[in-house]
Amino acid sequence: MVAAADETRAIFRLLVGLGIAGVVILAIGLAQFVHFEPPGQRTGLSARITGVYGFDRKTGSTFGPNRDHFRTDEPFAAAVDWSGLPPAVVVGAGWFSGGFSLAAGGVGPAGAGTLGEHSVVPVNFGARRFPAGRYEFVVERYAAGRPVEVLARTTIVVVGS
Amino acid sequence: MAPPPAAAYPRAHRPPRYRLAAALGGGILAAMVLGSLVDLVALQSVTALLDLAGLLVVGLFSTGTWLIIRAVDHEPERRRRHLSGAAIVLALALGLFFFAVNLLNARLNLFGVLLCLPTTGFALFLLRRADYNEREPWRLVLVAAGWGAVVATTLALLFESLWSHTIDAGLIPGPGQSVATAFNAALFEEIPKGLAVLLLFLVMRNEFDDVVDGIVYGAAVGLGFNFMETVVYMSVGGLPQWFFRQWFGLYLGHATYTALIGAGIGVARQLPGRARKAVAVACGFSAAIAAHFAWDAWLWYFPHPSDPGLYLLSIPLQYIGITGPFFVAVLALLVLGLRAEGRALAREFAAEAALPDGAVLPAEAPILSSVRRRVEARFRMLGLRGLGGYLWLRRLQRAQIDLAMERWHRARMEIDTPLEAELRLRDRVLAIRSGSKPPP
Repeated sequence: MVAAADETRAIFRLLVGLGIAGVVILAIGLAQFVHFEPPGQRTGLSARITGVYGFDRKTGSTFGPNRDHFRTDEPFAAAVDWSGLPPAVVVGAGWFSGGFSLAAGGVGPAGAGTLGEHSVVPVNFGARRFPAGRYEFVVERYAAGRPVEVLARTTIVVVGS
Repeated sequence: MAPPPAAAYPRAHRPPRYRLAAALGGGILAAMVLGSLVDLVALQSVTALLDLAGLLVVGLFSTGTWLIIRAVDHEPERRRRHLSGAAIVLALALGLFFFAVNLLNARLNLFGVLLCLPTTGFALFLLRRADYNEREPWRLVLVAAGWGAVVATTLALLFESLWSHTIDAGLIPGPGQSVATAFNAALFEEIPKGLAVLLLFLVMRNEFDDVVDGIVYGAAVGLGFNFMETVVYMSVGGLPQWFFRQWFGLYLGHATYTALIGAGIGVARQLPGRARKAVAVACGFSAAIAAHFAWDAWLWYFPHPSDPGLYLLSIPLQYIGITGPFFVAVLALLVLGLRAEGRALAREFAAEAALPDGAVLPAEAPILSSVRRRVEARFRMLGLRGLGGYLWLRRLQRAQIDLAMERWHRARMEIDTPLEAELRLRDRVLAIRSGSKPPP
């Protein structure tokens, strides 16, 4: 009779090694997640995004109705009402594109009281056309120089023209 | 005795006009199928796809129901066979329906389907050949790939969407959210894929021998998933997606991840004790989820460059750098498994040859123990007795390998079939050898 474990011992050990490596990789990922999404940061504050509109680059102002779809050649901007936030709270607002949240323009971080003149936040991809896809506009509270809480968010879709 | 008088209608409950009505009904059905097919191919019509899928599903469900009724009510003596047939037909109906839904998600990318079928098919062919000691039956390899293509993708889509709308939607854009996205893909794609291997392990134990079989089934599920994912991505990204996913990523992607799960389940098949079995299965899942997670998380640290040349270079590098080590680990597990299998078969062939039954002759044992010599013997037979002789010897060798595998599992006390099963396998070998019809 063959000892049950003999033939599979090397295979089992290699598999356990891979399993441990897997746990380490996932633990690093989890640690990174907790670092960038620190728990216990809820303040109950919320910002107000009044809408997303067409944006005129020459005048720096918005036009038209609130929309959730734009074309790739159509500049757009979000309008934020900062007045509902305590002036001393450090906040920022920005556009993010795609599943991996590429930064696509924004304002801050700065005290909410100083951002009154930045109520319009245009998307800025460094080019005249924007890649098609989902865009997210997020207002964030900062602590120790990095975002720790989302105070408001909205999503629009850019479609090929 | 005088013959009974001829009836006005030979079958009173089926007057001849019914035949005409049935022909008309069949014609309408044929016209619907043909029209839908033309609309689907020429106009990429979603309605046509739904019509076709619906017709097929209803037809298959009706057939399945009929088989069940027949098995239970009309022919109880053939119940098992009819119920198996019904299960296959109903599973096919569900599979076709999920395929149609996936195709809708891929914007009816039929071109992508046609382009990915040969590459995925060839990958499955090579994968099955890697298991050179005892190849898994095509029907199970295809069931595994089919699960990956339609069931796992459907489950993944459902749960990934749910995660995106609940968890991702509340996160801060940036590294944290990217890590969460990578966790989402890794968990909700690997678990549905791994379930297929787990089900095969539970239901088809006779065809699930060890780590090698686990790797084959797991990789087959991964290849199926990769097939449908490529079709979906091609509907947005075009031919480059086919090139990357069906060439570089054919084995270095989903096939590798799910092969790790399969390896875990395959090792568990041969381990004593529930705790060790659970550890093996958990390790397989952990390695697979981590490998998939690493692939997706990499993009946050090293986003693809915008320069087209560098972009083209970055993708193979990502495959080699991230999935490469896991692929090498799967290869190592496969080689170790094949070696263990080969040694065990050689031992069992020698032991069987020592018995007086004649299922394995002493001169055959060394030939059966070597893949090269097995193939050489078949080709010698081809030269001597033509194709018939070749096929006969192949059947004989396969039956002898099945017998040796059964002996191996019994020697390791990892078998739950009665000794009678081994006797039946021996009878089967003897029947093939003598040229009589082998027992089922």
